[in-house]
Amino acid sequence: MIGSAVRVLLADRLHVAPGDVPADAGASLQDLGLDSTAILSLVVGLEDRFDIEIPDVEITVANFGTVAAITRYVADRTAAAR
Amino acid sequence: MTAAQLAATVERFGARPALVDGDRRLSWDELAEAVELRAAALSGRDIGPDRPLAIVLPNGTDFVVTFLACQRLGALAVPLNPLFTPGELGRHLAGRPVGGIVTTSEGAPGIGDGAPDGTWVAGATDLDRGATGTAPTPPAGRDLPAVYPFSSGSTGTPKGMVRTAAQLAAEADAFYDTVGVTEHDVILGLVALFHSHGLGNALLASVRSGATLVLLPSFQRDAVLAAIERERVSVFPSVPFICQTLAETRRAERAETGSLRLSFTAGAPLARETFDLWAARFGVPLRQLYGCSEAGSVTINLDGDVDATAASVGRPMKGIELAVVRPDGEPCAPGESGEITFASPAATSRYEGLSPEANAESFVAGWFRTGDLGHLDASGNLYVTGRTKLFISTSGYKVDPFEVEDVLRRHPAVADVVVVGAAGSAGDQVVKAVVVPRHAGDERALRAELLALCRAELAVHKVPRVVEFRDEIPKSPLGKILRKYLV
Repeated sequence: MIGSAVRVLLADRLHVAPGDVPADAGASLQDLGLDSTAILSLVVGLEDRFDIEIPDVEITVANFGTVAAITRYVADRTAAAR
Repeated sequence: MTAAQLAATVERFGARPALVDGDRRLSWDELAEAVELRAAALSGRDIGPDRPLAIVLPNGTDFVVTFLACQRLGALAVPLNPLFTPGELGRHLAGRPVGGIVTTSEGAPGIGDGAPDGTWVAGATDLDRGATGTAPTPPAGRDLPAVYPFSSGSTGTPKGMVRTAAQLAAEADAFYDTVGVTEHDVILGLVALFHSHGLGNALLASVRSGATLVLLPSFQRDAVLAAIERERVSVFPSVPFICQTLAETRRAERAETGSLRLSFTAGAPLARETFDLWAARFGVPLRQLYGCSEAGSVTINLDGDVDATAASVGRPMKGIELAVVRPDGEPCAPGESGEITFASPAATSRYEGLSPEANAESFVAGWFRTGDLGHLDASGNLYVTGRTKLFISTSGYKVDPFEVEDVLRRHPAVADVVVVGAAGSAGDQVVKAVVVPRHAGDERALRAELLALCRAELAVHKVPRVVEFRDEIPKSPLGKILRKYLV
């Protein structure tokens, strides 16, 4: 559920067609043009959608480099928020 | 003159805080001392009225000290984006030889590769080593060169211009007289100082008024909120993207931001959504300022009832005359759309390297034709409605589509390409490349190659977010590209 929401948000915030978000959750998002401003835009979208807070120091390639990484990170954050 | 304005502020407010940069704090007295030492060091490296200096630094004490040292020497400062690739650096410096390049002490990777032969490159903090004494006084009675900003051109080649010491001083005076910033204000220096918005509305505004300048090297939400709380920031020059992101950040609601009294954006249209979110989150209106590299700030919306005129960039600053004109140069009626023109003592009078005929298209009898479209309302408020030039406004940056096209065209698989600004969130644009490939093939692989090429050649904000493949570029019967069908 988190994974598909992440894909929708990614497409929306990056202004690409949902089909252009790589099907492989482990694929690097850099080819989509996920630069620091795009990541910030995605981050505020995730905060709003999942009712979590994401500290800027945790906005790293390890947490935001792939769909799988973002999904894992958001799952951890939502679990911590409960 | 900025140097004279600095001396006057030091005289009046010497012991008051001038700069805050992380843990480092400088009073006006201490800043003046650092500027004098840096000026002596630069003078020892032959920088002076006829030998310009390129400054390739992020926002920080070193940018401020180096820029003001240039003003102290009467030397032209050429501030450049520290995120530039060597290729971009080389293109910007091609038409404007400099004596030296000051960069971070770690040295930007490959910065020397972009430097023309015979130009020295030095780290900012290494410069002062061994420097002593005072710097020479610049020649009197000459309007010395002060800063060399760039405006995107229509050829992919950056268009540079000299703004003089008198013009910069006039800009600072206009902002001071119009906006009413004082030594009790604290200005957040978050927007890039190498750009005219940050230079004029943060650095020069602080030097002219004695307000404290709090420097941040990049946009991190937590660092911005912490700086506003800790330093009690009152004046916040910004861009719409930053304001939209901050206002969307939920924990901003808990931050102590009651010190903010004046926040304004420039560089891109402000969406009503961003205006409303900002007001709800921070309790102060978000105002619009309109300016350009050629003249610094031109108008600001200081309307008491800004809610009613939120879409307006306001009225001209003191000393600036503004007119919206028809193609024949006659003024438009209120509400009638035309080209925005103005006469300002802060404006440059010509672009470098352009013929007098080419310059005459923009500079007409003391008036600058901006290439922007807009209209005035009955009260004289200006509304900017479009651009006759083709820049893309993305995340607070201006991107010249022709520069990106030139890079993409170098790929052998590209038959034709057009770069446009596609609509993004909250009024922002994203860089979109529409590519006609030479042969049908693996589009995903080609896209990856094109983006890799752009990343190697261009600063990250210029790299297309969207790459679309088409069989042909739509053109009018006269061969003009129909950009509206590409966004």
